[in-house]
Amino acid sequence: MNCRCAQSRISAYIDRELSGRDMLALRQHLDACAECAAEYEGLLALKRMVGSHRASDPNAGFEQRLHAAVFAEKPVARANRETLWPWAALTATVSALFVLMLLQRSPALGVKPAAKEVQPVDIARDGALQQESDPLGAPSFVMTVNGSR
Amino acid sequence: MISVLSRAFQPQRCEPQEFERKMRDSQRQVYALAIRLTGNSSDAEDLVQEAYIRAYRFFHRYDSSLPFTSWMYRILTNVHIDQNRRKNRIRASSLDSAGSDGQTAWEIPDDSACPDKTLVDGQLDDALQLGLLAMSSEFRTAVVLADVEGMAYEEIAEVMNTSIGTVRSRIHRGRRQMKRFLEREFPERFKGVNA
Repeated sequence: MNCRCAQSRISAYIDRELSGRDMLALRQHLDACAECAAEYEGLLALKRMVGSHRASDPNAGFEQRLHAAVFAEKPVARANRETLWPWAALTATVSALFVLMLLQRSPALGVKPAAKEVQPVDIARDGALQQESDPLGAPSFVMTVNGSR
Repeated sequence: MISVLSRAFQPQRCEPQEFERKMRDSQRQVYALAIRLTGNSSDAEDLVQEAYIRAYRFFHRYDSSLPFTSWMYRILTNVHIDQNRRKNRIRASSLDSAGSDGQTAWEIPDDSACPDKTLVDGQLDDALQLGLLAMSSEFRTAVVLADVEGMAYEEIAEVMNTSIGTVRSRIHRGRRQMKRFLEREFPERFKGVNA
């Protein structure tokens, strides 16, 4: 491992983020290279200093100002793109089903009802029936007078 | 389809009480990160407010499998980086490679890190804080999350929405930037920074 490669890995080594093989290789290089070892010691010390650095506390009234700023904003209650499209899909589906039902039921929409089977007209029989029902068309009968013809 | 529709019919998560409780529990930690990122209480407070306002607006997207503080750190770092970019600072390409994700990174120190300006303002007299401010915002965020918050690289990558390789690069280059700054500006205290 050369110095350029070693120095690029020093921070990860300090943070224990190197693989076992890389860690071993770097350790061996640091044992042999004074310049890289000094870089390692410097960055390790810096990490410790930053880690122990204490941040200053917020100014008085910080919590109240924060609360006022955040809750002056209304939460998202209006529909947005994420929730609109499932509703749109559902509406479209229901509408499509409704239209399909209408098309199947309504003749005015151009669908003719199935025609009934029509029997051929029996004209002769109809004519006989007419004669039977028509008193003037009744078969002649012999009128008997005093029982004799 | 059914899971999508069932999610659509669930009410929006607008639970002020729950958010308020989470905000109260996390605000100290979030402020501590903000003050280290900005270097002064006024900017830190503005940053924290903006982060929580965004978090409240999008609380319905919060996935409870992620700790709320980690989610806030992500929002805060995004706001901080966005604010810095909007200030139109000079971007310089690194002489080295630009990081594993190809993004260029700030190499010129933050002007608020100027020792004279900061000391005159009375906002900050901590050399270490100045050293943090000497880094770019991306480097500073990565270093603070690693060294102050003690996060693993994988966690930092999650918060900063980037790869572990980029996190590794930012931490290493950030520390080296800070070390060079301290050795140059405070040689009597940080000459050849050693334990």
